[in-house]
Amino acid sequence: MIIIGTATSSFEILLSLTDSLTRQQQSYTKYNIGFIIMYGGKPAIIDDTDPFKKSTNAVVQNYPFNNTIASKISNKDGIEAVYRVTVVKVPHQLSEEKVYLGLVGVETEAAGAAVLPYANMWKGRFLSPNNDDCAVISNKLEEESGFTLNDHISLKIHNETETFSIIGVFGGLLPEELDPGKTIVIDLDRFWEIMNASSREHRYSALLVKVADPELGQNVTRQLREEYGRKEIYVVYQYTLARYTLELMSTTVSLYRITNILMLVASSAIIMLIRLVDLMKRKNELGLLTAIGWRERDVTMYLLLQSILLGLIGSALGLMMAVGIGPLISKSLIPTELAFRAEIKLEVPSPAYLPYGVLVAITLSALAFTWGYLYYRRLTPLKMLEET
Amino acid sequence: MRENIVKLINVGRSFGSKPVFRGVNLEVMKGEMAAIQGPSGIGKTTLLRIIGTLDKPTEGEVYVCGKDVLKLSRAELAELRWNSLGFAFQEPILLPGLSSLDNVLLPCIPRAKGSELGKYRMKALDLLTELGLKERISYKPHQLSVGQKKRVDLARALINNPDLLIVDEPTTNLDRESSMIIADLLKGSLSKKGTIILTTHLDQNLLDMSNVKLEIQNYQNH
Repeated sequence: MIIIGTATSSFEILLSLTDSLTRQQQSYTKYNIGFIIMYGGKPAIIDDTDPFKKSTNAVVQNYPFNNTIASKISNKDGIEAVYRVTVVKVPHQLSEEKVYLGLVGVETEAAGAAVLPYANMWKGRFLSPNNDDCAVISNKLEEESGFTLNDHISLKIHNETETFSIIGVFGGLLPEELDPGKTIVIDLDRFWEIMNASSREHRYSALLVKVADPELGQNVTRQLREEYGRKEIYVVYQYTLARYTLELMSTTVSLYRITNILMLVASSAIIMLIRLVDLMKRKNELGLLTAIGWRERDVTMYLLLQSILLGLIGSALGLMMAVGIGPLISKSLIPTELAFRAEIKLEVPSPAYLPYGVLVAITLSALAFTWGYLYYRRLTPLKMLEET
Repeated sequence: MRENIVKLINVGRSFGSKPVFRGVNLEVMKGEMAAIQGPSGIGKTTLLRIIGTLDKPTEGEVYVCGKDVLKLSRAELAELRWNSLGFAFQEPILLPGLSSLDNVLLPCIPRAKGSELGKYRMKALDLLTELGLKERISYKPHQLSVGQKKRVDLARALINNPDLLIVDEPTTNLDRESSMIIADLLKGSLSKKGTIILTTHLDQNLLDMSNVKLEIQNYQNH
């Protein structure tokens, strides 16, 4: 029973790990293939001055894009959409300490287009258009400030106090220009309203460019670099990075799949061997049942029911083991730091695979018994009784 | 005309090239008790197992309850064992996880339908009571003495009122009390027109009860 349990739990865990990785891979593909991020310098601090009211070199450096540039890029061949993001740092009294929070204005429609890095939600949900009094915060801000879902956070900007309801917590591997650390994200229109900036004054830290075909991404990147590739502007072509990541994930998934098959073969062999040894020990019993008039179908049914029962108990044991040790295995496979930043969470065991695990355990157990009995049934009852 | 329950014609059994016995002839009629006797190792148990369809002879013909058992399929043999035969082993074979009562009921489990199992249960209780095991119906085999195990084994052989009861050394190595109880049960079975074949080594009481005596010696039928 313990053997059936161990085999079932190993099978469950490996199946779940493979599945989780595949889902991570798909999610990574969805969010990272085929879009380009262009961004400028570091966010300006809104303390006494307001960068959007001036047109200095520093502003152009830190906020290199405006509506005209965004519109021009969106009209290029192969480009599906352009979304705007802008970031400032605002002073905030956090406990007894004055800190600077990153205040980010984003076009919330970008989340639906699956190209928005902020939409990697850990808790709650991302902003919807017209969520004027709502905000999502970075996991770092949540961790250091104690703010969490459904709390209210107040920011004092231009002597006005703005209060937002926290509806989500995001996490991710964003560059400092887009996520200064302790960050609060709000709708872009609301952002401009708070900044008291006219549309003529709107300037952006970054543009998210979605390309129609990931394969064209390289050409688009080249064009954008030629046109806007000043020293201060960085173009990140996610496709290249994503491709390598995907290849790595794909290799890992294949490795897990191979391990799954090996595990299945090994556990099948072990279960069947154990069952056969058990059956050899019970040859006397089978001989007796035949001698007292049990029919072949009676003995087969008896063994089959017993196997199913054993398989069920064994797999229940295995599932308990999987639930117990699965998360530890999951933790040991992914470094804490990476899991924290990229939100890689492996579900072990995945409920979707529980029936498969149980089915495998029962089938193997039943097969072993039936196969063993078919071997023995050709013997006379006496042979079975004597050979014990 | 009396019914023929067992008929052996020139039956022999060899293991490899070594013959155990040859040319055994035997006819047992309904209601008779036959005793197979002879020294140890002569093949009494082997012959009994052949009659009980647990083994096959290497030569000769075997008829049990009018059927040529060598021509029966596995399914037909199972029917014959259930409907007509009861076999009690020399070394009782009981399933260790079952109580005395459940061991007696074991043959009926796949066969009994609906309320039949209840009837068999009553019958098993009667048999165990008759065999002096009323207080031990819930005992597991490891809690029973050899004599008690033999009685449970015998009760199992009788559970379906067999046409032929085959008992291998029923009283060997038993105390006087157990031997008497078993002998009384066999007498009771005979009085109900049951047919019995048994092997015995030295039990004069059983030999006196037998109508037919077969002594196997040096591969010859006497």
